[in-house]
Amino acid sequence: MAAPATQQIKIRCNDEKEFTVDRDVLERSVLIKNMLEDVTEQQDAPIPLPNVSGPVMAKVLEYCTHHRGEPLPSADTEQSQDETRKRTTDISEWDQKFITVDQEMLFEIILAANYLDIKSLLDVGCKTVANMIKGKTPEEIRKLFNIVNDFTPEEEAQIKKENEWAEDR
Amino acid sequence: MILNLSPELVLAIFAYLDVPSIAICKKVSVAFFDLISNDVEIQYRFLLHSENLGDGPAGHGTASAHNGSSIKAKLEQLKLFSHRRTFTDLRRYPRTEIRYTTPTSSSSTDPYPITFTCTQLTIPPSDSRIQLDPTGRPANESDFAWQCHYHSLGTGTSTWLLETGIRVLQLPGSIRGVPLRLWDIDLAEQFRLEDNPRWDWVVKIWLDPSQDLLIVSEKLDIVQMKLHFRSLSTGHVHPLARVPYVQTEFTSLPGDQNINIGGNFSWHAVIQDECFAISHHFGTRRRVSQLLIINWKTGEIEK
Repeated sequence: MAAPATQQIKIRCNDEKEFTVDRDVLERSVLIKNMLEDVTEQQDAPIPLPNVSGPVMAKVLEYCTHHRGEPLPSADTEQSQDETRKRTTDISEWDQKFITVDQEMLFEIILAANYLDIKSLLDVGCKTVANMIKGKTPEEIRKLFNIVNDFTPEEEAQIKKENEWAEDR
Repeated sequence: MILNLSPELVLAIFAYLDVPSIAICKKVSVAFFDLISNDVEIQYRFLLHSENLGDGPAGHGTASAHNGSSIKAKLEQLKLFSHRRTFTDLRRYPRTEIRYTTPTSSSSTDPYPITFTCTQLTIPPSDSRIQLDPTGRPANESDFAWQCHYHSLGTGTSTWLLETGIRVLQLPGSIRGVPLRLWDIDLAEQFRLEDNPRWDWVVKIWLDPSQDLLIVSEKLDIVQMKLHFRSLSTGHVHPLARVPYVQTEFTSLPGDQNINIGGNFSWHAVIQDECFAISHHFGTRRRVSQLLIINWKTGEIEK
């Protein structure tokens, strides 16, 4: 049964925050799309999203609204893209601006995109973190992500030896 | 926190990093080290990197989620056929023949057979049946040029210069899942090739299939040329190149201006990662050699 494009769907986040959103915007999330397809009757109760908070969902909806109407990636396009892009980390201008957020929000967006199954948003998030890592030394990466160096000096020397060939550009 | 992400998500981030960057991440912490060391796909990429090989399309990124076991199998097989072993055991390879017949053009009566063997690449340039010219004019040996890029596993990519562009033959690599593929890249429109009857004198190509890179040089005059950075699979500007082309200039010396553009010079070039090094030798009486190193990703030129 084809639903009219203007259908409004209610969702409820884990902090009780509720959103009412156009169905086609929400369907950028494969998780929600599948949920809606399974439900045959009109429901008034909001869809609970226990893994996403209100502020993060607002950000995700901003992304989905901007990209509404774009074709969802299928398995086929994914593979042909893979062939040509060869792990390119380019991000479009709008996405770049959108993803310029603090680190906590960035990781929240990645988690939400993964949970809601929004492949393109997950890609943007992962590419952004990869770009942050690129060109940095191990110490700079630790500082960036607040990671403690828990290697013993012996382990560190061993890795250095093993690693030499790969780090050498 | 990055460590709050599941291992799968951290690995999804690493998938966008090149091998040297992943190697640096290994030194960050024990958690990163374990994650990277235990991931089959990364091990496979490290091994490809060390052997200077490219992967087939089936091995990329998200495909691993579905083909984890096949990547593992590829990794095990690649280890068996590692670099040194290939060379020491070269004689013991069976001479496997791959026959491929190019699609015949309307005017061509004979198909054009080429034969590859594991240890030797044979292309018959003097074979009178070669009919690469789409207009039907009899092609002769000098109309025909080819370049070959090959790896230690006896697989690789070959290209031919056609009247209107380049024909690329990708030799199959069964372990890495590289299929046999033949495709044409049309260059006629962009390089005004029709105006130049001997465009293979004007245009030279270099390729690095592991980076999906095709570098086309367009010689403007005796000292100037444009280097175009293209994707080998599509012929479009390479997605990693910040500029579509760079224009380079070799120093000219008085007296060299009259040198026929087709003769008396030679180029040698290699691609290594983001570096493209090209040396240029010209002049009969004045033997001149120059070397340029160009970063094809950024477009920076070093003399």
